[in-house]
Amino acid sequence: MVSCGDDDNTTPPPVERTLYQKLGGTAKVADPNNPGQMIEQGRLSYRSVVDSTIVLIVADISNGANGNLGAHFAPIVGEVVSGNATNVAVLSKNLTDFFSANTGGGATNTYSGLGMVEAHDPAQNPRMGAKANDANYDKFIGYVGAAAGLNGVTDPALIGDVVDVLESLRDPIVQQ
Amino acid sequence: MKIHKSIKIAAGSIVGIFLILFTVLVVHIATAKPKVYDNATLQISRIDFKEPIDSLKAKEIHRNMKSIAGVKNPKLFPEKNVLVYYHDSKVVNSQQVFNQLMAKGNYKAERLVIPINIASKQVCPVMDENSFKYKFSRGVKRIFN
Repeated sequence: MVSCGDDDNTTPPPVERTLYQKLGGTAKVADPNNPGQMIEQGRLSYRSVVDSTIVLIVADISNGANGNLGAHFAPIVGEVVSGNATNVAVLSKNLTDFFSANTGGGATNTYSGLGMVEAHDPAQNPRMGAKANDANYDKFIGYVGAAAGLNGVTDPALIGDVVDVLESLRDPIVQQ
Repeated sequence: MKIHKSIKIAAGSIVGIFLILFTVLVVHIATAKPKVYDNATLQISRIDFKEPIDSLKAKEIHRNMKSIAGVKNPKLFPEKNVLVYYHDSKVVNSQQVFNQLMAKGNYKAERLVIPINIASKQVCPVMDENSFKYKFSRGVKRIFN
């Protein structure tokens, strides 16, 4: 006779969900900006936060005021259209692609923009108005946190995960 | 002579390799998929109010903005007297939105206009548009698309 041993009842530890999965993952939902099209919920969550972050930054742009990111983001308010997309459309896509692809959504999202160092060096990226310092970056993280709240992302643990991702990028982005 | 034959074979090989690589380059450019943007013509603009905005006026402004075709997601910051909104630049530009909003409410306000030297900083170019490489790629794309 064979008896069941204790080790037969061990269950594997739960697999921790990626940030992309926590934000909705690959489940498809209707795209509110493109009627008739579907979008992954994870990507939509990121895009919504990105677009709200941009709104908060633009609301604060003030020539000569300390602390706002006008020098870095003012070009997106210009109405000069480059190629087939506006400046803000390109920025929104790049940021959404970057976060989606690097937080667990890489199977269905691709980031093909510049590396973080190149993207934030005005000498290599004409879209970057000025180099960023730590205060600028703290301000940016604050905007992202506020934007997350505007889009219903209020779970402190989730916001903490997002901040962790942003903090992991501080080194290549802050170049001043 | 042997040397002549060797030179011919070497030259032929070099030409052949060049032709193969050139063909690969042309096929690569022709089949490269263009980037797809979620909202390619999405533009963001701002209107600064020169008068205080109370809750009633805020609702009125929001209602008026929503009634303008092409405007999306207007966001009013009463404490800053600032209105930020997205709009489809193919439907309406920021001057038109401003004119229509003023016609609806006769507000004391002005459009945020970025100096041209900043506004003309366009998206980061992958290639120098004056380079041979850019012009060659554009030519191939035009033939095959």
